[in-house]
Amino acid sequence: MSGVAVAQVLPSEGRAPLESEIKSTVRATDRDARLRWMVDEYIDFVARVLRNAGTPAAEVDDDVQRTFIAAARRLDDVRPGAERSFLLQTALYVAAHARRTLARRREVAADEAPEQVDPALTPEQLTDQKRARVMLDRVLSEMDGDLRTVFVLYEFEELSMAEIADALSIPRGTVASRLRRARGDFRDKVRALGATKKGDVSL
Amino acid sequence: MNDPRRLRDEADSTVELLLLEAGATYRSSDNARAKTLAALGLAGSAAVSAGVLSVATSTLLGKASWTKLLLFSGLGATVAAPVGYVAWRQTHPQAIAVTVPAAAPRPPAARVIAAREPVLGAENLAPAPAAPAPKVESRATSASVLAAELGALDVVRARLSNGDTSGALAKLDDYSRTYPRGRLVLEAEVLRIDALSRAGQRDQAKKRAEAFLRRHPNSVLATRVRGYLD
Repeated sequence: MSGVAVAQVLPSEGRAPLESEIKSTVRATDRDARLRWMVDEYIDFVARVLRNAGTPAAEVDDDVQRTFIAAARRLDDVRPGAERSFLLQTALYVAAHARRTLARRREVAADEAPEQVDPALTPEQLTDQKRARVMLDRVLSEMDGDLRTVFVLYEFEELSMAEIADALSIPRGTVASRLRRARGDFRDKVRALGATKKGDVSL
Repeated sequence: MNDPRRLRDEADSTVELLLLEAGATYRSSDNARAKTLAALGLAGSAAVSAGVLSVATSTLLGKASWTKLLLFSGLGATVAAPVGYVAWRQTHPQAIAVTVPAAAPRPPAARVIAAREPVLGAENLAPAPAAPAPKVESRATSASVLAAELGALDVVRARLSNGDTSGALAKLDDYSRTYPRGRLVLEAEVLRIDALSRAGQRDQAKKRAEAFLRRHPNSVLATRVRGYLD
């Protein structure tokens, strides 16, 4: 504990701090350090999972906060070393809630014009990353939710199938099956955008 | 059962690759980080030391001495007493053994584009346009303002944690005057509600809490604010 932190627990009337007061401050400082480390280390990860799992762009910032606030509330239950997994599960839960809210909003405003994307965009035009993001959102939004989650975790977060099985509490065979279907679905939808040119990438 | 290769390693079109990269390279905003730190009561030192506002660092270094920076950093780390989070601690008083991994694995996305560029070639992926200098400068200014806002709220929290509610309210008045359109105004308002409540001005705290919830019913901070209605 730093000198400043010790000074914080010294009672103003000059008596020696109680052991319980010192321990309490140490605990608070440790928790703060752990939380701060989690934010520094995983905020991009959390934002990406939220966004790719269907949280609208305008709501990602708020949902990032929600995810970390939930983590802070349950910090004592999070095993050291399992922070990423806890944040992942929380972010997926928060994203599912965001998707449901969005769906309800669309039902209410049924005449709201959907986001339009020009299906005839060329690869050159797509180099604008924002445009690519819009296209990706469209493709992902049309995928089945279960397939989408496995796809996002495997292809964007580069989790292993075993890690995904653990995170989602499903058998590894189910992960493999969903991933296979998700990839096929993703490719079909990308081709359907009308912008695919076979063989234009020399891999 | 071996894991299959990632789709980015066997993309069958530039469009497919671009979409995959768009998904893998998404980043949180400086704003999200600042608001998250503020909501958790971890502002100030964390923002500076973790490189959250890295764009502004060189600017700040030019204006502040190392002594001031270290003092700012140290005080922020130890003095910050998060409002609301204090309440969570009270409901979770048990001690925990904290193990902060020394080197956590970085998310994989950052290396994606760099790794792919030589394979694709410049003819297939247009080079990212170089950011014009004024924009970088503007971002640095914006980030340093955000750092200053976080610092100002840290001071408020420090006053509150020491029981100096009138000092905290005075500092909040300073914040409102300095940053009338600040990016952390909602966080500041929650701190004000908390300070009023702690100062015994519960009616005033309740009025402000009701007004906050009318204007921002879906705010991340709404749950915390509802606690002041009872």
